Amino acid sequence: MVVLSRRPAAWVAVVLAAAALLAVGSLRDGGPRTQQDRIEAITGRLACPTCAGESVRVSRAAAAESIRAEVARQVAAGTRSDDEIVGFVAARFGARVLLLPQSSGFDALAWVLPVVVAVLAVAGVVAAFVRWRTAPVAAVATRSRTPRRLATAAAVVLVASGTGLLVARQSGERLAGQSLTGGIEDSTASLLAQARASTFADPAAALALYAEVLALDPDQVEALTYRGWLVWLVARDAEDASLRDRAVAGVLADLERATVLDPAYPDAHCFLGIVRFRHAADAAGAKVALDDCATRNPPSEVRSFVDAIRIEVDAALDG
Amino acid sequence: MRIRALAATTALVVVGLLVVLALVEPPGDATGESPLLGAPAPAVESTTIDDADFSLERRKGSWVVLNFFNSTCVPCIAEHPALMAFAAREASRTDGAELYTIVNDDADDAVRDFFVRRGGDWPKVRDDDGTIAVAFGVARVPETWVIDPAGFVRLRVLGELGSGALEERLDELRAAWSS
Amino acid sequence: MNGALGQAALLVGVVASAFGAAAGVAGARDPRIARLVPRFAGVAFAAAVAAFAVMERAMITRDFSLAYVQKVGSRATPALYNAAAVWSALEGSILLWVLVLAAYAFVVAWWVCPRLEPRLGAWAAAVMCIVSCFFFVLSWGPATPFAAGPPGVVDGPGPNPLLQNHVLVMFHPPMLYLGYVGMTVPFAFAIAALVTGSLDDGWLRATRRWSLLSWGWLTFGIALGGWWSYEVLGWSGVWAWDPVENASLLPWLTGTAYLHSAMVQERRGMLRVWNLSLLVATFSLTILGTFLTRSGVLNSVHAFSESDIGPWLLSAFAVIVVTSVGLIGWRGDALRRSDAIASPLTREGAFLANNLVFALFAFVVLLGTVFPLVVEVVRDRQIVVGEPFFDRLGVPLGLALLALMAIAPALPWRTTAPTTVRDRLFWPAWCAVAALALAVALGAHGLAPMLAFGLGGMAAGSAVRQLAASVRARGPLGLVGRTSGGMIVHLGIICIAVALAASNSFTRSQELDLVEGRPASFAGHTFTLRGFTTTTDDRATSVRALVSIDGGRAYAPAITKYTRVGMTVGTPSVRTGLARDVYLTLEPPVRQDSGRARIKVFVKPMILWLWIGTGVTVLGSLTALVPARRRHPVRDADASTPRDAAATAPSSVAGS
Repeated sequence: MVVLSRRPAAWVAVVLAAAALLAVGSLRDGGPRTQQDRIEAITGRLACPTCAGESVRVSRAAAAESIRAEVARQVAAGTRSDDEIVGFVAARFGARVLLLPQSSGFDALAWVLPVVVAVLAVAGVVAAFVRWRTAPVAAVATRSRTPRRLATAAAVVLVASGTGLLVARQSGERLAGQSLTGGIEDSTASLLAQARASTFADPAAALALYAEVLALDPDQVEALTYRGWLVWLVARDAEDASLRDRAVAGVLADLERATVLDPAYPDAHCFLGIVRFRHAADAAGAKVALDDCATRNPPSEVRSFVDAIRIEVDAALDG
Repeated sequence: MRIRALAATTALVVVGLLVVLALVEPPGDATGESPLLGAPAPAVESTTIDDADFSLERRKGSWVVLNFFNSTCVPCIAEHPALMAFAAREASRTDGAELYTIVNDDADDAVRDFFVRRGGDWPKVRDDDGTIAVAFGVARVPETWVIDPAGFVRLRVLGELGSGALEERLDELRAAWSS
Repeated sequence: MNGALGQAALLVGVVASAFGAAAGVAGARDPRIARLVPRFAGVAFAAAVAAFAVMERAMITRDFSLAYVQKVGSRATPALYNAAAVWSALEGSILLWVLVLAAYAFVVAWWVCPRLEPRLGAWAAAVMCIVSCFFFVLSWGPATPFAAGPPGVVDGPGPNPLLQNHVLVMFHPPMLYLGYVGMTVPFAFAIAALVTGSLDDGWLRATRRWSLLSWGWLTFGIALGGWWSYEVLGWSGVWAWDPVENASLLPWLTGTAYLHSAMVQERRGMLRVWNLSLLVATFSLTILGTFLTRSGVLNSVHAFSESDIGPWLLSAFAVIVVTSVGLIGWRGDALRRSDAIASPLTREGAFLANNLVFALFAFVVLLGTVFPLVVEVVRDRQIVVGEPFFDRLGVPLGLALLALMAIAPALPWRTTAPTTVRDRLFWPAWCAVAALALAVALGAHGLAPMLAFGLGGMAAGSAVRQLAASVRARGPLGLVGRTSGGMIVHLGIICIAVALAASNSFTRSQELDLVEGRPASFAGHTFTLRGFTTTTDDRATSVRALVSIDGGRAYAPAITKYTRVGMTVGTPSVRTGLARDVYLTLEPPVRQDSGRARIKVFVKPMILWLWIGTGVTVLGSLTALVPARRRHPVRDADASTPRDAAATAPSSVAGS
């Protein structure tokens, strides 16, 4: 045994073998990730919002189960990356569900401090060894060493902070948890909401927004209905009769298509009734539409339009 | 000498830690903030416990109040009279807000029993796998959310509703909306 | 009646330990007064036993006049869990602490102190009594389990259901406390040494076995906690970096560093400040950990409710740290030695590096646990610091420790001897290659696990080499004694480290929708649902899915609803194997009549080796307690006693 260990060749062999095996093992692929693996990875980065510290992966709380289910759904859908799914959850629950401290800002101290302490400690030990080695010559004048000592200390602090910041950037959570990212349904919801908010204040802008929605999704029922309604509001006062008729024809087409695409949507029926009555004085057709509207429980704003006109329609039918 | 310096530094750090620990209060509930405030409400597509369809998008045009609820949670039980009063007041207005209960981690039967015993005939929406709760970021019940007629989230109330509190906040929101 | 008896017993304990402390302080000057200390400590111990017995009696007889029994007692809980319910919540756990502490104080005062230099012994006993007194006051006052509850209550909810379905609940807390509280003893001696100025190794040697014994209990208690987490909590992991877990790990880290560093002080009288600081840190961290987990500032799955003892514990922590640091600073000059460590490549150098790594590890764990509080106070924001943070910073530190375990046993004391070191590391290096080859053959991948396997192999080789050398020198008795016991402990720790690396990196999991009778396969195993069983009693309703793995016997993951408390708990079912565990959980919602079940399957490599490693570690710490041939006198007189007499003994050539 002793003989072998004195042979440089044996040591070279051992080092090479170890390095080679290490390289092979570290660099090779682990095989495909299952969906469950992805879920575990993502939920491992999220904190359960009711448990103050447990990750969603670990916790059995109801809130954690719901988030796990949502993550599972999104992983199965395959449309979002891991970062995006984490961002999705953080956008709704707040940044407090991110389990890793941020890579910048005050929170990055959690990364920087350990590195700084480590570097300072190592520097301290190195200094101790230097002192022990040169102890016999400690009597040498120390004054010339002070600027060198200061320079070394400054260098150490710089290296420490630099490494710390690097580690923070590498390991910290980069998502701010503020932006809502999403797929097509999020963008149409946002457009629709903005359009609705500006319906009365700025109809032109609203129309443009509805057109945008319909470009993305031509069968979007709400956009069809409310574009029709807006066009009606503008067109009904037009003086050019043929222009008005053409516009209203388009409105009716939109509204009728909406009722076909989603018969349960109340607003389309309500507007259909109103337009039929007001434009074509078609009381019977209007009544059908308005009855459909009423049975489908319309929202209060639409109902307020309808309540007024119903009386007139009934009167017209009786009379 | 070095030891004294080290001792002093350690003492200083520990004192700092002590100050922090002494000042910390046990985590209470977060304030009613949310990244969703002022943003369009998330889509909610589900069924009520009476098997009727429910879609939040379709309710644009009304003020909508969503109350996340569980029949065994103590503050939910405590706030129920306040909710009943609110529902009654809104029913008497033509532009009354629509109130919906979102059932959080509870069985249909338990919810039905609760409302039969204590009253309340507004729709109760199922949320079986917690999609709605996650979409709104609701971790604990009760929570109450108010959505304006354009579909934007306007208010989040964490915890038990005080009597009259919701009416007051909604009136403020309505005033802001009409101006 | 129980309440009054218990309170009275606790009050007796307060008074007795206070007198014991006073007698200890006065007895430093007057040996006759010092002889009274064991008697006071004995009375305090008897009082603690009485109080604990009264609490157990109240729990067993379901005496619902006490608020504590109302909180955690129940008629429906089985006897075993009911008796363990005493320490399932805050007040009872403080009472358990008091019992263990009073026992230690009594044994130390009665048995250890008289054999030491009188002033040292008296002060050590005094410190033990002061700490006992503090905890007695806590248990008598703010955290009293004997307070009367509202009248008319005839039943209670029982302990948390998670504490009711595994027998480990009986053993984990008492064992953990034996370790935790046991760290008070070396601390007491350290303080006594600082106060009396007898800073040589008398106190170190006297407490060596105490430290090792406490360390052993603490290690075992922590491992049991991991086992409980694995078997009960259903997420298939053993460690979640939960604040309560961290609170138990912190003293373990500094305590382990101390055990190693103390050897340098015994041999060369160096690293004294390190040793004192590590002991002070270990004890302070037990107090800080208790504060963090019981004051309510941090929540965790252990969920001790907040109470008034927060300010008490925080003040105690402040007093301990300020006093100890002050004492160390005061005695600073007397602690310094003009000795030097010749080079990093000596045993002392390795132990110094060891101290550094462990201290850094403790810093990281403490920072991560406390950082959310700092952010809340300074930035008024809530954040969470969880597993990924600790894993990312802890893995490099763990690898560094493995590397030290690989190299240090080959390093000689005092001088560096490159040829010797090279010779001693040769076969361990080949062990590393063998371990790497095995790992690659079994499909391992990833840098960190590979490093863990390689370094673990080398460290195992080093430990075995050391053991072989001991056996060659002394025959089979070479396997007992401090060094050999230490090597066996190293083997156990390596086992645990390698198992952790394997199970954390190579666990595979999948959710399976099983239809009755139709097998599904995953990761080379087939799973077949055979049916459901339901059991109901007045405590809970339990639904079990019977799943047979690879056509063999059925395993039954369950979902249990505890009707009284309204809590639903999932219980996993595990098929243990030498190479891997197959871990099954049942996922809600369960529809028994549908003939379908949704289960989650985790295939976890090498979990059994965690428990085997724990066993080896405990065995090693027991064998390390066996007294070796006396090389040094027990009572240390002066610093002039040459410490290196052992270096000339023949066995030291082998490196022991």
